[in-house]
Amino acid sequence: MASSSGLAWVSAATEAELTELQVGDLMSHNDNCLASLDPTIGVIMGAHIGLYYPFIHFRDESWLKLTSLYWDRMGRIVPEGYGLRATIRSVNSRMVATSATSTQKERKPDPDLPSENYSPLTATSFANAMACTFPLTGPMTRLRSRHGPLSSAIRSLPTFSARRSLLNSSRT
Amino acid sequence: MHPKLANLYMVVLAEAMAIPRGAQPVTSDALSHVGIGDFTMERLAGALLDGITEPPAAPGREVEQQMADLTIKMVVPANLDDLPAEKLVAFRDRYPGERAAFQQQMHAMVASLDVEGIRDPEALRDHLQVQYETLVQPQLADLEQRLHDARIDTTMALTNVKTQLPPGLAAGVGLLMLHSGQPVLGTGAVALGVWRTWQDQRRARRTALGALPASAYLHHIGADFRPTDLASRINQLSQRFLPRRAAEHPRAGQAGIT
Repeated sequence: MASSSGLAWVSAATEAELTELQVGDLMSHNDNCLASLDPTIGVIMGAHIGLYYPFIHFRDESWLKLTSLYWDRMGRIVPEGYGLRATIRSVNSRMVATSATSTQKERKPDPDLPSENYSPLTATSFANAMACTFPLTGPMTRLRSRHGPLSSAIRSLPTFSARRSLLNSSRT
Repeated sequence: MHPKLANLYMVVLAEAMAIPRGAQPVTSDALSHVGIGDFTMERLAGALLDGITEPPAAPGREVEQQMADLTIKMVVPANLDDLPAEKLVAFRDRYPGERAAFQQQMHAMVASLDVEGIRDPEALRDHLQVQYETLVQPQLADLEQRLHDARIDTTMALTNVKTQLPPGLAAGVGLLMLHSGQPVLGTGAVALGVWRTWQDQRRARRTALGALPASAYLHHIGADFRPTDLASRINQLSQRFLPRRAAEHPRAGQAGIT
């Protein structure tokens, strides 16, 4: 269930819902949750959404089951084009399948935005930051000696994408 | 790809992506939990690329921040490995209102840390226990009963929520905890840890846009791991994010009051 926005949702998250989440000043998740007390704002704004990191795949199926009791949705950061559906573990696919069944009749996901509406948050920016932080003659030497040059490691990083609003926010 | 480098990259990405999506960073990795939060690349790499780089001294573009983490016992199904996912999904889909109410109470519990006037660690411990019994425990008891009604056995897990040290607490006993060498206190069900770190000065601009949501670490445990144990572990991991001189301070990282 890899989305073009780079996030895959374990539960019933759609691009439509994400768009609603980004409407208004919703930068503070605490505010989001408190806002759900106000029935005029809407349920989605109070959704308790987790973003799993630092791995793409859940390391522990039981751990994922545990989170399902306390979070409404659990997102993952997934490279574009990544074959997540084929590789996700059984519990995850069951949750996705259940969610899809229960929500498809209610709303359709927004169609993907044209590619120009996306700005890449790519490995390049990370590589540049790392290069500035650690010159290749510096303390990364041990990493390079065991796993090849840093430049190769950076090149092998998957490229992630995010909405333009995300990138703008992260830069400001 | 070196796994530590990949983890570093993902922590950076998670931090960048969580805010505009109103999502809460959630991890099963304790070090990554401590590592999300406005660190400079040098500081983050120094901590996460352990053994590869050295913790840097605090450069001019860092400022000291005071952090707090709250550990709470949670009710979870026992024998999760054998529990069919469909059964769990069906259970959670029956109680969206209860789940939302619990989330509200958890946020209220974190908000309750911003308490002014408490100067005594014992009084703060009592405050935590009362808040837990008032806000969280009834929700957990209700969840436990519903799980039992669904013929699902239960056990306990721990969740640790990290946030900035609230001003009210920092003005009182929080400061005492930071400087007394006893940065952790708690009861059998809830624990509070406080610690110092050095973060990027750009946090000020971040705050103007909206603070990073409180991140969470969910620890799936056996019965013998107490909230204060987890709070102490988080406190020890936080030492990796200090400048070397501060990390070697004799009071740093000591386990606290239990």
